[in-house]
Amino acid sequence: MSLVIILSLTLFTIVYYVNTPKHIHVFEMIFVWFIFHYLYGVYIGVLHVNGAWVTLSKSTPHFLSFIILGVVLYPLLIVILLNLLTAFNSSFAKVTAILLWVALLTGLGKVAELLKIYSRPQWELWWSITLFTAIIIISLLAQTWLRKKQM
Amino acid sequence: MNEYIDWFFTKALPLPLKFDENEWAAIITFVIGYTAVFLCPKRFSKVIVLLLLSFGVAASMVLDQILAAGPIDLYDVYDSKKFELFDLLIYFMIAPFSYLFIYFYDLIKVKKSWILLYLFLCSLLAVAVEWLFLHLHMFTFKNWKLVYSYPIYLSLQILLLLFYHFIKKTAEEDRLKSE
Repeated sequence: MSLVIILSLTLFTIVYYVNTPKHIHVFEMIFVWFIFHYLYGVYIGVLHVNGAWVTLSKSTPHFLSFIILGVVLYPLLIVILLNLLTAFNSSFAKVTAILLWVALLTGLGKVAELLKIYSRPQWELWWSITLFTAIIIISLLAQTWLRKKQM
Repeated sequence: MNEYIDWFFTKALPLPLKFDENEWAAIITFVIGYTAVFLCPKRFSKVIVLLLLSFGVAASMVLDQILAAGPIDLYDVYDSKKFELFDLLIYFMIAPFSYLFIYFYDLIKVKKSWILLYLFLCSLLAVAVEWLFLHLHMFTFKNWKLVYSYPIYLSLQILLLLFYHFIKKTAEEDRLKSE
């Protein structure tokens, strides 16, 4: 069930992004994608492998869902946010979008937990909020930095 | 404050228990790799270099997540079950390999009929390097065999070649648009 839900969500997100006008360069998109993978890898290393704060399910469909989440859905949502932030002119719209995205990504983490993709018994909600805010800020900085290099 | 520092280096990102050959090998490979990247005469723009380097980091990170961190658990990076501070370095250490693979591909202008041979030899070289790293305890195999790495490297190098041609074509189109 978890695989069906995560796969459907991912496919809907891909279709949405393909049909959206692009405001960021494809190189920025790829670079942010790569940066996200590095950060996500460190997150898994620290929280799953070392700390046991996150325990991955041993079932194959759950693990596949976890991989799809980390390799496609989360980075794609970050790329969509950066695309929106580049399109918006007002600071208010940008801050609102970032707050909405932090809520969306945190909610997605909660959905993954409810689907038993992983369990986080000692997890605090504010850890997710801090983590996703940090990831968004780092991605934004990486995109801006690459844009300057391209010019 | 000291409590947090202690927690960070013992629980979150522990330092290696013994600073031995694998840590030294990682540092030496890192230094040699990036020295080679900086010393090679410039062939690509800064953005393309960054993308090629980050491809290596991201690809190795994703593969390790799938094969080593999850329930499959086929191998450990280094000689510890923990994700150590030095694990952060190992992914950056791999990046120059992906850059140099494309650098020499572009330098010797590998023709279409020779691509298969280039891929075959580079994948063989990658397995040889992994064999060396294995003996330096940079990996600890559980249910993994060295021979399994060959198709993995081959697939990654094919993906990297496709990626390189895509970014080269995009950069060329951008250049034409701006003119």
